[in-house]
Amino acid sequence: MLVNQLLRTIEDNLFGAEDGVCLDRARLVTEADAKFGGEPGPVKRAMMFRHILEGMTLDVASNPVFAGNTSSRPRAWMLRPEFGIHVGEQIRIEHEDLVDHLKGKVPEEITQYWESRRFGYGGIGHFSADYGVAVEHGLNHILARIEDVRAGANETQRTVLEGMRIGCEAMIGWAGRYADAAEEAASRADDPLLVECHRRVAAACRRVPAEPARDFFEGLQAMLLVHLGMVLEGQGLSISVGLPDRALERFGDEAASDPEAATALVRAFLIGVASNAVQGKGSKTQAITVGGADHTGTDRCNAVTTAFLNAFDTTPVSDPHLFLRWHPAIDDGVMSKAAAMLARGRSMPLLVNDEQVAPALVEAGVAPEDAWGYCIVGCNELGIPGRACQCGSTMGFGHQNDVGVLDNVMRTDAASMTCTEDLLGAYEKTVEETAEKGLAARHKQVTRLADVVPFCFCSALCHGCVEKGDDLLRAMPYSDIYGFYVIGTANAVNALAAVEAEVFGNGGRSLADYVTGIDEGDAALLERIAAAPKWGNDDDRADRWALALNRARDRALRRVSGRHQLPPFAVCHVVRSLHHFYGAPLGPTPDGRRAGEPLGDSIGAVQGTARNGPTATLNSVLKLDAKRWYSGVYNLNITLPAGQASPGVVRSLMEAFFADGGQELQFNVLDAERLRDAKKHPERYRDLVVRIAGLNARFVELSELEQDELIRRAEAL
Amino acid sequence: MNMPDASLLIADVQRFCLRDGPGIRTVVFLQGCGLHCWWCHNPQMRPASSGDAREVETGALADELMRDERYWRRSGGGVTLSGGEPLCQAGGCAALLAELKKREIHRCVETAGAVPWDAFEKLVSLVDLWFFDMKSADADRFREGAGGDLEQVRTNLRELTGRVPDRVTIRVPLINGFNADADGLEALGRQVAELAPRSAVQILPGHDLHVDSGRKAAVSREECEDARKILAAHAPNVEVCW
Repeated sequence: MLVNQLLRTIEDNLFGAEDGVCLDRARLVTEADAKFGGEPGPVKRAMMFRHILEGMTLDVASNPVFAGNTSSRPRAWMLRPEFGIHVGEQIRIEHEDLVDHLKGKVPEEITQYWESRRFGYGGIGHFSADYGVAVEHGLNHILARIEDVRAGANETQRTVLEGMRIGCEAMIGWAGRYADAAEEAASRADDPLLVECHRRVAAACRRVPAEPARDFFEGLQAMLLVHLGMVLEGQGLSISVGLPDRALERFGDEAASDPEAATALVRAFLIGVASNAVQGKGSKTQAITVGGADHTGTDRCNAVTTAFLNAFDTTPVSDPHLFLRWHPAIDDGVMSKAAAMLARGRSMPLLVNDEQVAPALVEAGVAPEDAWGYCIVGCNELGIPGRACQCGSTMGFGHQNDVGVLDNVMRTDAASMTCTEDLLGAYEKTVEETAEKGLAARHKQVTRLADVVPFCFCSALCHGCVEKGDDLLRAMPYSDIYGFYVIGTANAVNALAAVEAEVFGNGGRSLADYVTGIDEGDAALLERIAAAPKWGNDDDRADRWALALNRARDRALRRVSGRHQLPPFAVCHVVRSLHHFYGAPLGPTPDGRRAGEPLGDSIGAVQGTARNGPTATLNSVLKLDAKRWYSGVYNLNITLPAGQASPGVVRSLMEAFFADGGQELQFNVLDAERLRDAKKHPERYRDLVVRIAGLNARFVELSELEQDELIRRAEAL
Repeated sequence: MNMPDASLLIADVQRFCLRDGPGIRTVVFLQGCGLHCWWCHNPQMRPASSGDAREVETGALADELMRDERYWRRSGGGVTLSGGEPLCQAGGCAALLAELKKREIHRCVETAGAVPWDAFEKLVSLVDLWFFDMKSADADRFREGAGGDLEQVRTNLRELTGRVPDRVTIRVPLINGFNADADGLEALGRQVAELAPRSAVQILPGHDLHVDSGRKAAVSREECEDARKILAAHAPNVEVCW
């Protein structure tokens, strides 16, 4: 079928859609909450889910190739009022035009209803279900397992299992509604191609996701319905699609036999994932991961991997974003394709090194066959489809601003600091306190979420949940991998290097004077700080403080994990646009950063401080122990000028970096003139997708703040 | 310049350079040049000494450069000596290049060729690829614009291509008001064909970054393309390096 002919229209339907608000889910979930109020937690949540799927508007017109939508029109903001009705801080930063997006658009009966009832923080996302189970076995298989387990379950488990049953059956019913809608659309359509598309969707939805998929199309259709179903259940943010080239590997021969058709289907599938409107166009960081080896060392790239790369190359989605897992024996064609895309400025795929991530997970207690099945869940967090979500921001704890901690330490206890190591000692103490508090809060949060707002359908697709009759947060096999969140690390390293030079080295200033100078904007001091060694330049005078800072943090975290008899905590570094979020309210910091400026957006050099080019930045990062970042990959963004980035250069940098222990790498290939023109003429640059700290975004949709930051970065090259 | 052979006076080291030879390269800019081309791109590196330059021991410099070895190996890159005029410090350059050769690093040298042959002799067995400037075929023009002896340059190029014919790339800085005219380029093409018949030619468009007011070195894309056509009649492989 010539899906290609429809793709442009399908893309226009998505990218050309006006920002709106869809009240379907908000109305239905409000109705359901009132109606099913007396049911036990899991059953009530599942019945609410069913009520949504039974009542929501189905849109089979915007993307006739696949069934699946979360709001009545593409990108119309889908509300989850049970978790609050608001535009989150990060979306405000990324899209200034969405700040007042919900104002006056949500009926009072809905806002008032949830005023006193909402659950607060929840719908934490950042996980990937095992889509392979849905594709290979179908939901009826899960329903049969639920029946098997039910007899031996206790009362609490039985209510969760009942919730799972309702959830799976609701999904099958939802697919049936799509089949009806598609058949009706087929009967009304004149264009033979559209008729064929609708009929194929109808036939597929009569079968999947209830039964095993029989071909590539059905496999993609099953995945899309399952994915959007989980979004509608309320999990919401950053639910990720796992490893589709493994889930669909059985259809690799079919994809190989007609690569063009396979690519066209994946393009339509990506539009389907991109239509997830949980936050309108603010929806971000649904990760798709492809490539990589398994625990036997076998490269798992196949024709589906190539179809995903080709599809991302031709359809300019920013969400989902694509990660490619590298290992030394990766398929050469896949690597060449990835390098060509990056050199052209596509800003995807983002690259991850199996040889750093998988062994670190094994060391943390993950079975090798699971560890080598890892994927990205969200911005840069790590997970394992259906087996681990908690190594991501889902259950990350701490959220510590490293430079903020140092700043605070210097201000409160300047007199007792006699050397830079004293600062690190105080930093270490703070980390320990933050981790202790964060851990307690985390435990409380898990219990509350799993008991009060369990996600039964999501859990049914995760391992261990049916058997244990429990929510995924507690029942997945690796629910004890803990990630401590940090940001501002590069700023903290620069602060330590500058303080060493100005205060404890030959500079001769007192620490109190240094702080005063920073606060008063002492130009001479700021100039000297600017000239001090900076992290990310392969300069050991600065880089040694990165190692010292990480060692201090590790010591503190090990004390806390040891005290609670938990596996060592991993570290996760900066996500999404948190560098702005944390930077905006923060005063001047001891690295010379001025009040309100963003923090470093990557584990590499702070913006504007890379003096020796990208190889020096990569060398600095190579000095870190990458295996500590198994909660989330460490988020390293390298910017190259458009004229200089050939596929060969990109590939050389990446392979050299990974072969010597690098963990993760993102390329932005930017052209300042092009970005300036795109800001002025957004209509001409629909396809321009860029990478910011933890997200990919279509440049023309970004806030002025983010656009200007990228332009400055490109101008500095 | 009076430097011990184990030392170099360097103006700068730049990593991740992509236009100074194959692959990803680190370029060492040597301080000092005997010419004084009015369009020079690095005029601060012309004087034999400068407050900004640093003297380095060649072994230590080699160690410092090796920090990017992993990228050179993957990309087929290496180290390029530029300047200034590297051959003004031929002894030190030879020591550095020998050290890099021992470490099996690919080595390029960029030269204007206006030095006694003795300097080339020290380096000729140590260089994988030469970038040899051919600025003009007119001795008067060359003397006036660059302050050098064209015959010396011609002799050196002839000798060099005689010794290592496949290791020489000719570079033509295309300068408005100096060598961008059709007649001059025609003569220059003939000179390249005579002295370096097997060499590729790269045209480097001039720019006005460091040019005195009242003068203009920059050329247009059209002028570059015209120059390429003229030179292509004489050399096997001519490209414009923007």
